[in-house]
Amino acid sequence: MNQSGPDTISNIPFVSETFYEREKSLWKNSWLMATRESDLKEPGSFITLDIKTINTSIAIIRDGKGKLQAYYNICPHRNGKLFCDRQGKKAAIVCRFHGWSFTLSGQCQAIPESQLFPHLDKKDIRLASIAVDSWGGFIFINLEEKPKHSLHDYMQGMPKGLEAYLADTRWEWHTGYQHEFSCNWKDLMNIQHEGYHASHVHKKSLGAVFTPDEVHTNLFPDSPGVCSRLTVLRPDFGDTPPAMSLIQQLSMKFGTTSNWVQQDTSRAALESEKAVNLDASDRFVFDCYTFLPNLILFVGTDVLSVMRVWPTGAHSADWEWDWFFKDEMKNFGHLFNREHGRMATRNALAEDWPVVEWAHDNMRNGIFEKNYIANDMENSVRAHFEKVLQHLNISETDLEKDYG
Amino acid sequence: MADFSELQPYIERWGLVTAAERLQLRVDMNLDDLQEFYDAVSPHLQALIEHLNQHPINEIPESDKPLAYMALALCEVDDAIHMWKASNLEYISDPVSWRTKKTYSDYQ
Repeated sequence: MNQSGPDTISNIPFVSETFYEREKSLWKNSWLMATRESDLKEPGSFITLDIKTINTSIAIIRDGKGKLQAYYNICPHRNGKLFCDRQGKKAAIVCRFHGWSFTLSGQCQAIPESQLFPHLDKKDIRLASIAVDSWGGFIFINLEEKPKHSLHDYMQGMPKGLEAYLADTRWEWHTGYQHEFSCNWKDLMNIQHEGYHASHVHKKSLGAVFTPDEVHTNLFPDSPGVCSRLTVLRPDFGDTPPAMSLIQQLSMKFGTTSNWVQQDTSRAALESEKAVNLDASDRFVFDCYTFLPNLILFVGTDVLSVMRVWPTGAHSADWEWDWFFKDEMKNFGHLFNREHGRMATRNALAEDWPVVEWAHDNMRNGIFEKNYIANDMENSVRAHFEKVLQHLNISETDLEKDYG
Repeated sequence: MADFSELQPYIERWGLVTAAERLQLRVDMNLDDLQEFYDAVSPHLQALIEHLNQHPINEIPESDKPLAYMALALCEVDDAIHMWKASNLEYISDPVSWRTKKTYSDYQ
């Protein structure tokens, strides 16, 4: 079908198996969010992460000096698994296969029956290290041997105060979801960072129509890792705001995590200058940042949501969503407010996923080869698309030739 | 001492431990049943929260926990009653099928 013009992007990166194979390198040379620093407080505390896309398991551990270390979860002896649990605490790293043991900083310290290896000196044996660093209290890893950009440079474009705000605020993990969806991983990313669909898909769950100004996007074309910021404001209902339920009114007494109740949220900007709600709107809901490749952060007044996607194929991807809430939950009222806000978000998410699965199925049919992108409300889709191509060193004109 | 004994039938039905169970019950019920639950319990919600707020969140007595779960079920049915006018949204991915994580690092 004839589709032309500058407002289109190709379907190829969303449906091509060949492109997907090439795209896997994104997981080998980008900064990937792995966990939160507060999960690795003590020396010896560790987490593991299986990056299914590239069949790679990694572990991050805090060593005896308090420094973060990241390793491939592989013993140099015979590729045994070093860490078999998702998280925990270790005094030493001991391979499950034959018991070779390593210090927390990766140095081989003991080989059972070492006389069997007369030509090996344990001093020469170390675990395979991975680049690891923190930003905003979150720990990122990069599998590239010498990452092209430091994590700090990767985050170029983020507001001045946001790193400290995310790192220094006490964000308490509340709950999270994981699910595998039948679509391309970029489909999952794209519906979350554009505001154009919200008035239609969420007509029932949010009951609001958003103007372009209420889902305004900023792009970061010069940043190595940051694609876009979508700032969502509660629609301006003027003198006739929708009536609030009794439940909403009670929830409001215990926090601001219910996105759609009508309360002044400009304090977010006052409490955290140059971090969130940069225009100090009293209708602020969240700033949504998209990072290459697979991370979206939704930073609200008292709630922080983290979305990550992990491709499991060209047409399937694991989706993770986690809620963090500000400060300690002290009483039931706080829990009530958190749950009220969380459920509103969960319901909107539930509406999103069939839409993208159906669209992905349709893209595979190839009836239309391109997508039209609305410049004011969907330019974050193009921004992520371009950042992916740029990172893979593929031009839009080469897409058809090499992957079509 | 607050007396919520008149809510006992609703506590028995909605005092479910997990959010997933409460969600499933909301989906399984028709709008009339949800409305009946909402109308019966919501007038007591403020008193319920005040009662439960007497204790730090981690020290709510076992005997009061079903009450707390039932109160949280009101969050679950709020939008169904006030916005959707239905017990579930249309064309959705079923959140009950999503795995609930145990920790932030719990990606399986």
